[in-house]
Amino acid sequence: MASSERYSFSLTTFSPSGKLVQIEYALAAVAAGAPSVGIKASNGVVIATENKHKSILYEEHSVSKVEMVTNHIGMVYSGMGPDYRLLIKQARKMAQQYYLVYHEPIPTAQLVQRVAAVMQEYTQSGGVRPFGVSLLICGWDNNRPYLFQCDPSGAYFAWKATAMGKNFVNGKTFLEKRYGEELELDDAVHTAILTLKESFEGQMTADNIEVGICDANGFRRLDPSHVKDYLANIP
Amino acid sequence: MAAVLIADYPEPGFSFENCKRNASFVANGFVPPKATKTGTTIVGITYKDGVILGADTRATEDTTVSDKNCQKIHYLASNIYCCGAGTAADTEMTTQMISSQLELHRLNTNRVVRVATANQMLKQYLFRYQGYIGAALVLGGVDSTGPNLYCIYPHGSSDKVPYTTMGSGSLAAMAVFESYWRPNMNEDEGKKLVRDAIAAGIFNDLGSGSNVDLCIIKKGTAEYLRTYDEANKKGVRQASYRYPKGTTPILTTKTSNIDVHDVSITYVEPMDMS
Amino acid sequence: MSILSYNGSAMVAMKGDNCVSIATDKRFGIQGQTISIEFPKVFQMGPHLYVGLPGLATDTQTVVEKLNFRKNLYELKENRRISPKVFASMVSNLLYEKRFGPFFVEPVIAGLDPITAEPYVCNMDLIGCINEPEDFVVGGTASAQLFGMCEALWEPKLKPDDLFETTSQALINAFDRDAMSGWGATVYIIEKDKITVKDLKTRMD
Repeated sequence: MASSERYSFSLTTFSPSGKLVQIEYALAAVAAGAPSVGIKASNGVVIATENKHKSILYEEHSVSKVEMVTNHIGMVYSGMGPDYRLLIKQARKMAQQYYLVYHEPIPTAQLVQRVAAVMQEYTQSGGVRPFGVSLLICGWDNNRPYLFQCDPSGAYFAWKATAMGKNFVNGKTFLEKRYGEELELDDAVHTAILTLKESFEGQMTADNIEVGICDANGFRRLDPSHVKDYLANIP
Repeated sequence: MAAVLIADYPEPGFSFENCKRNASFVANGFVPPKATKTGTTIVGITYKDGVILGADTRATEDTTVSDKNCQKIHYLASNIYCCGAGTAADTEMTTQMISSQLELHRLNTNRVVRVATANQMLKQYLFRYQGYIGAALVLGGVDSTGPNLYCIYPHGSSDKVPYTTMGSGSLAAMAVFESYWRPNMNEDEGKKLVRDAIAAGIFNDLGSGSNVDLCIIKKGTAEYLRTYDEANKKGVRQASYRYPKGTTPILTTKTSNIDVHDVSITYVEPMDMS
Repeated sequence: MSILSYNGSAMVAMKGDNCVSIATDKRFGIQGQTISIEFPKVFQMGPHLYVGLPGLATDTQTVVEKLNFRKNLYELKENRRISPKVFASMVSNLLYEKRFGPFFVEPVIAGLDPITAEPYVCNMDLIGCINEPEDFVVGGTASAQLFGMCEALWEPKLKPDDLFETTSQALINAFDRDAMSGWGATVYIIEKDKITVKDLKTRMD
């Protein structure tokens, strides 16, 4: 048996080189997943992802990937859909629970911390596997936008702009060139779609991408007609 | 799984830790104090375009008025509101919790929640506690099935009705409804009827008082009219009874300064000036 | 006799012009027998935040410990000061958990918002029903007398000096008509840049 395999069975066993390979495999699952991007603008934040369907028989807009957690927080993922749905349900519950106790909307950073804690728990518990998803969580509180990434290990990062999933390296390089602090929300949506387009195979339409925006008015998923308007401005 | 960590949130559900101790107080003749009651006149009607809910704003502790302007119409969802009568804390907490569950239901199902759902959740919750959670509710809202009005009793039963009243002022308010309610009233007629019903409670029931709150729910909109009518204007005080500075004899004074920065606040040790 | 009047207490909090006050008596008794006249019932929960816990003395002390625990955890976790409003929700929540076996305290909260410095006062019943009026709140065995005093004395937009005088006189005159409370009083005036704590000379009978 190859030595790397020997340590890959038990989730809770470090390899001699100090790695938890199961967590690295989870990251590999994420890197193979559909790409998603998030960009913070001066007056809001945008998250976007591919939602391509394998067959023309598929009913579009029946299952969405960009979801609202609570009025001012939204979420999207790269990786495994079923795992994501468990996390979004937990996140919504945590947001409600916080509101019940403190009578104040949960700060985005607090929600991220708590979701990350759930993901961490699944790297150290018996009988479970790590989540096969990385999350992009966007929010608006304290009069400013927030954008976080949450990995299967439970690590989380605050970004100005980032890409995850398939081709995320190219996506990030593209964003590094395009990003500016003074970016407005409308331009950010445009840039987010352009970033997706970098690695997009086939024709991009309002039916195979999803966009969510969050600003002082809260979080909302753009409907296809709205996305179409943005696509019209894309070369 | 996270037993070693301190819980993020307190344990769910009620704690009965103090019950034994408190029972021994009672056994020794120390009666437990009364919790705040709403007293209350709460009402609801259906009219042509939706439902109108109404409530007075008095809260009482025994016979003392403990809150002269409390809110008894609670938000459940953007299309559903709920009036509460009975133990004030129970109506407040129960509606908050159900509101939370309805919001989760809305997000998880991607639909506008129905009034029937709210009714079912409330009555199941109240039934579970066998009437010990003292919340009598008037639940109203508009959903895909149209306007809906329910009244829910503390033991967990509920009725679907065209108009209803609850609370200690319910008889006074119902007298107004039984005389003047008609099907398909317009909004102005509806508002006046609800105002009159609440006013009947305010002036004829001791447990109800102060102002009239209204909430009008139509398809797509809900309008919360806090203090729609100030049924009892407080007289303007003619004189000031202010004591001149220096009236009160002081033994010691301690002043601690607080450095106020733009963002953070630091605490400075107190300085003794006695 | 109600268990809430076993030890005796009188407490009041008032809103002023960019300031709030909270005042308490200092007696701790076992029914008619006075045990202490230096018994703290008002506690500082932040630079601009005070909570008073009139009621059964054993619960006053238990509840303040529990509140400190939750408040400290909140402030550490969120790396910010708790606002009076959030603190009130926290207290209400703590009390309602014990809905069917309550703590016998009726909390009074007074403070300024850590960011906007907006005055805030509230009180609640023993199972956490919050009351947030525009003027004043009262609690304890002398609450009926305090209601009467405050209704007559309170005026809007009182400056710190006047607020002190109004609060003190409301409290003193109220507990002079309550056998269970009194024996000295402490008044806290909370302003954005300073806290003034004054011990009052009162009747000792």
